[in-house]
Amino acid sequence: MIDEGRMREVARDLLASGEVDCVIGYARGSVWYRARPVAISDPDKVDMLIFNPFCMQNLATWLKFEMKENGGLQGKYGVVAKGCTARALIQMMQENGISTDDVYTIGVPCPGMVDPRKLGDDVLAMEDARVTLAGERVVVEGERRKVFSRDDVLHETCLLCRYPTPPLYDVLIGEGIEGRPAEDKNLAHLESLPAEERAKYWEDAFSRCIRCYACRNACPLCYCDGCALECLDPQWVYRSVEVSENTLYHLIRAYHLTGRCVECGSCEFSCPADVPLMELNRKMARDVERMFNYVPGMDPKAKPLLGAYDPRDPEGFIL
Amino acid sequence: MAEWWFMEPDAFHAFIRELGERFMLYAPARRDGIVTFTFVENHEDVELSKRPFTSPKAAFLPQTEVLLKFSLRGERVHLSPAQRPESPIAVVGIRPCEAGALKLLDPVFSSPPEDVHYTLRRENALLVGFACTSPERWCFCTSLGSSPFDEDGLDVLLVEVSGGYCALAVTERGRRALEVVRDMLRKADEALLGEIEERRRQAERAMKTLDVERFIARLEDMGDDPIWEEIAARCIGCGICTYLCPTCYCFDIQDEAGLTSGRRVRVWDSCMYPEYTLEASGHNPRPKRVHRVKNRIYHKFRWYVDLFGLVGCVGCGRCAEHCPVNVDIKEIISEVVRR
Ligand code: SF4
Ligand code: SF4
Ligand code: SF4
Ligand code: SF4
Ligand code: SF4
Repeated sequence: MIDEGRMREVARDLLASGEVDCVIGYARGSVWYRARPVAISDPDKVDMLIFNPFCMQNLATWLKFEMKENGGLQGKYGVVAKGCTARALIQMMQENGISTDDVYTIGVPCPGMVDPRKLGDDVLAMEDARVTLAGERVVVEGERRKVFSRDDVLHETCLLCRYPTPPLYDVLIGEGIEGRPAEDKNLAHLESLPAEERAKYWEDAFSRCIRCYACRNACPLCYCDGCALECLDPQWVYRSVEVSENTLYHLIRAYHLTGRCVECGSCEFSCPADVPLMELNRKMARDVERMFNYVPGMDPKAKPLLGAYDPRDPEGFIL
Repeated sequence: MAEWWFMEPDAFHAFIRELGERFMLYAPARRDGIVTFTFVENHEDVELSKRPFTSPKAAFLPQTEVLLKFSLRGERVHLSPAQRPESPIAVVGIRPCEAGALKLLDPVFSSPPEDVHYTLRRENALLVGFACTSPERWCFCTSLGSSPFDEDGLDVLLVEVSGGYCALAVTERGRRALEVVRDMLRKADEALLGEIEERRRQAERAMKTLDVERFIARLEDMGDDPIWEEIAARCIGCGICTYLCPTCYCFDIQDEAGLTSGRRVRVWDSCMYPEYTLEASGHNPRPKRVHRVKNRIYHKFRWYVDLFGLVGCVGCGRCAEHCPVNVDIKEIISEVVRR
């Protein structure tokens, strides 16, 4: 488990010394199986900060709201960063979306996040509970005590995670953790299906989408000024919620995130309709890795995929 | 006195099947593992055990509705307005709060200019409610004048009891609907009536009451309170809270046109989006999340009250349950009341 005391101490020092103007971290939610992002600028409030197995949102996302609403970042931000959050920050640096001086990365080696829905309704019905990750086990202690296997209750994203420790940080809370990704059975299965069945699978998934755009808004790397989806002339995607427009929306997003997505799962976590967005993202990420030997969000000095050229790049699809 | 009828699972299925003959069935059904309100073809797909993540408002106010089709034929423009909705809808498994929510949409769409698509659907509909024997932790209908077994606004109320369901005909229309399976019903005996009463009490006991009246009064001078900044700081402006809300009704009208033909559609819109208030000049009167977060709360708890004398929230808790960053309406109410 992460030493929350140490994390708070770091945050307090950063704010008190003026090193950063604001710390973006997690706070307790209104129920025990939810956590929420919080922005703190008063050193006396750092005790709100927590790090528990429900901190699923990618906090790099909150920089984009600052940028959009205030026409740029207002000062320096301390960001509590899991592996995927740090990778999103690095990717933004690669793209010159932010500069290395804009953030102070408070790295937290991440043991993985629990998907509350996998705990079952009877467990969620408990008024209050504490959840801890201990090795292979996830222990829920409330009115009752229940022990789960890690493999059964973590988000799939986290079970597949290769970089739980930030590749880059200004301070690391505790010891780094090695990634030990599970086999990606769902993707392998999907890839093995005939094209018509895959098409049907996505048609079903996309027809559930209510086009709330939570997936886009929760994504740290969907920070474009003037998103293609808001463009009215030409209107690339109509607001009609039907399978053709929904598919278009998701394909546009998938392409815009290819070679940029850091597989944090913030999009899928935010989706109310259970659209398996990560399967699409992972497919693109694996293809990019295989074809271009490229993993985004690892090195702030690396060129973004689309800005890089290597004579060895495959070009089998270019006529 | 109102009469309760007992139906075994078989009778229940027969009832739904019969409804399916005369109405378009709109009910919770499982689609790839997730329960959602939808038009169902096969009555066997209806699944009442879990409250869908969507509300049933889309039966009356579809997320996408074609209003008009147009095409260019030679020198002439041909217009064909959408047909008026003819087939009556039976919503099965609607919760008491959601029936209450429809009563909040009614004044909006029936005030002049009347929206006939909405009002026709509403007038012809049959609402078969499903009482909440185990309210969700997010629910707070009892703070808003309703309750988990509230029959108000429904035609039939179903309660799950041991061995099947009990049905109450709330309106004449509901009585006639039940009439069709009359042979398969038997009058609920004392034991069943006792069970219904016990379940009702249990469900109500499980819910805490919030002081909504005081909340509304406090809002008056809270426009500049830091609480809105605190909430807005984490809001991602996704609109889930509004799309899933049974009482939110904002829409946009857009033309989707190709070179020679197109259509005019009405689609849901959300006050949580920046484009919602963006003016043609480029000016946006609600430029930040804090303005939009405040708008959602103030619209439901003050301006709707001023307009129609009703509170624009029924306490279903969906906005809190599905918000990705845990903006919790119950917490907001108790926090404001506590101050
Ligand atoms: S697309 Fe999803 S997984 Fe990828 S960076 Fe964005 S939120 Fe994270
Ligand atoms: S979050 Fe889910 S429902 Fe919303 S737009 Fe994305 S995929 Fe669709
Ligand atoms: S669901 Fe939550 S994050 Fe999304 S707009 Fe509503 S309050 Fe904001
Ligand atoms: S505001 Fe929230 S609690 Fe109230 S009716 Fe809408 S979704 Fe339900
Ligand atoms: S608020 Fe909850 S308990 Fe009350 S009627 Fe709605 S779903 Fe049922």
